[in-house]
Amino acid sequence: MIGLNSVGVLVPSLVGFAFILPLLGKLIKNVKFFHIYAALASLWAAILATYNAYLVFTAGTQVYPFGGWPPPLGIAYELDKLNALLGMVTALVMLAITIYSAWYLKDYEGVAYYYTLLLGLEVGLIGCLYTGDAFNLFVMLEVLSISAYALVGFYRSKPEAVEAAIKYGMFGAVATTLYFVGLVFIYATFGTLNMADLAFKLTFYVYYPVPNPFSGTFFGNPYVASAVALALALWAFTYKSAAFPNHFWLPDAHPEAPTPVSAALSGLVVNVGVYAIVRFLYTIFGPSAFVVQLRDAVLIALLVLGIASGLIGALMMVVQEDIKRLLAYSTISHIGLVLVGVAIGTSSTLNQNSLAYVLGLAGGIYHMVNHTLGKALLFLVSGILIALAGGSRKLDDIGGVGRRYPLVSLALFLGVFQLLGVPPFGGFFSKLLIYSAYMEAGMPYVSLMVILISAISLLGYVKLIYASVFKVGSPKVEQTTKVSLPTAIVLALGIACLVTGLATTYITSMMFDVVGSFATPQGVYDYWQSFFNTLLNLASGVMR
Amino acid sequence: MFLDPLTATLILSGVLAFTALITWFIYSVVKSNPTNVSEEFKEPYLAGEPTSTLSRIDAPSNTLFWGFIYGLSRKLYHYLRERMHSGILNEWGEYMSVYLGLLSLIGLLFTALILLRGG
Repeated sequence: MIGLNSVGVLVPSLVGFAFILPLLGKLIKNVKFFHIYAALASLWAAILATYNAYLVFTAGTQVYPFGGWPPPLGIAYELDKLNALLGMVTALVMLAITIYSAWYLKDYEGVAYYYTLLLGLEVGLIGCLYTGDAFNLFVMLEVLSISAYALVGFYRSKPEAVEAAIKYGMFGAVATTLYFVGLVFIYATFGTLNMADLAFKLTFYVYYPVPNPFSGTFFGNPYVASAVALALALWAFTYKSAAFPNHFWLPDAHPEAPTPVSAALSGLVVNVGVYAIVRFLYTIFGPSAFVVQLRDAVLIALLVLGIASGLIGALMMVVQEDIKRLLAYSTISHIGLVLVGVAIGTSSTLNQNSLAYVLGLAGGIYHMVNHTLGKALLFLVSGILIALAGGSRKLDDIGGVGRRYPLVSLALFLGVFQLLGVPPFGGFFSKLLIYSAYMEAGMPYVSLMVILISAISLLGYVKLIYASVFKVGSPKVEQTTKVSLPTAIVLALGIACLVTGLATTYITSMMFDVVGSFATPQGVYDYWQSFFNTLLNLASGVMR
Repeated sequence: MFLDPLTATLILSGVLAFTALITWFIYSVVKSNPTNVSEEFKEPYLAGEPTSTLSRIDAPSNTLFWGFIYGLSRKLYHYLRERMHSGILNEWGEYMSVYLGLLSLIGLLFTALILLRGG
């Protein structure tokens, strides 16, 4: 019998915290209560997620079967170092965003509705990361997406916000439906949706083909099922991660959302798409899977898309006049860089140069964490600048207002340095790893692309800094706007950005560990092993 | 061959600090000091422009960037802004469908290859 533990309790407890809020909203009229309530719920999630990460890094992969049902019959959460780390980063950044929201929505009355959605978003984020079941991933993607659509359209009196939410929702629904269709093919052919079980079956399929009710037909052909499932899943995941050409929704949706939500969408939601791509292409359809040629072709396509995203995001950043839109395009560019890093794992790279393989993947994951911290920081800073400039998002209207708030400007610089990749910030080391990986793999033109993308985006960041800090003729600052709470939060995030760089020796080594847990034969073996151990434990409990 | 992170950091930090110093020096030499602007300079031209426009001593950031970037790559930006990021759903759908088609084609080619090999 497996008792309730921190891995299993996190998501259901957050669901409880979120769903009770509408009722509390009817009973309690004090707005401060909701700010404190949401902050405490996020703090709870951050503590549990950090503890879970500690557990995984010290005791190995953790599996939690819900309701005691043995996987693959029941839903199981399976935490290895990859999703434990991302879960921890997500929960900690969400804590900062929730506390910031108390300042951002200080004059707003409908905060119960806002926090219900924000906690719902956190449920979706952590659920997507923690789950060890491909169907549960679909469910959690829907939880995440519905919260995100509603949050984008939060200012429902603004036509632009409603339009952005509808556009995001329409294509988002198509994306999750396509992923669902892919799952139908997988389940019909392999008879399971548990990720560890799938990884096992895909590895040994050639030696032990599993018969299915559709065997001998086109629908039950494992090659067809794998090809369809990978094509559809990848399309859906690149939509969630806003990679070119599935990025169109992002520059409309992120600026229209309330600023703390923009920080969550740009810093965290896009990570879920990348995480799902990595989990599918390295753990489930890993290098040992029987569809290795298909996997290689998909990884090459992903590399091209990553470079295109990086370039287009950087080029579009340069010509933006809206501070949040500029940051949204920067997200597309950075997701491109992350995809470049994680697209390195073709079978030829793995066989010929395993160092490049590890460097690229470690760089990709490291950059994902760096981007999360830097982008959340910059969006939160933009919220402060916009409030001080009287509510305008236009860079010209912000007019150097940051000069009067040196600590806010300092945080802005820290965030920009992180994303630009200035040493000794974490962004520099993650880009260096990606660069080195492709040099090592004998693909220097990809390394040059990494430099070119950073160089083009420099123009955009200079524009951001110039307009926010150095521009002369700043607007009349709202004297009543108190910014001590958000300033403390952005400075904390700024320090985190600096720490990701200063502690790079430790973090890089940790990233190598993380790569070892999901992308190496030993890591995938441990992933199966934990699944089988859970299954055996539950079965022996039933037998007794 | 690539540098170890510590050496790379030291070298790049040094280069950046040096570049920043040189840039700051050049800036401090060539910058126009707003306090030196004479009262006569602040007087408006008699050509209809408002005083507020004339007293601005900076260029709007969008002008600054359009002059430099747009002038250099007008065609590229015309395509990126007017065609690709038009905000029209049909056009988004077109790009996204092409990408889905590409992924489907990869899947199809793979399946055909396997079937031809008797898989």
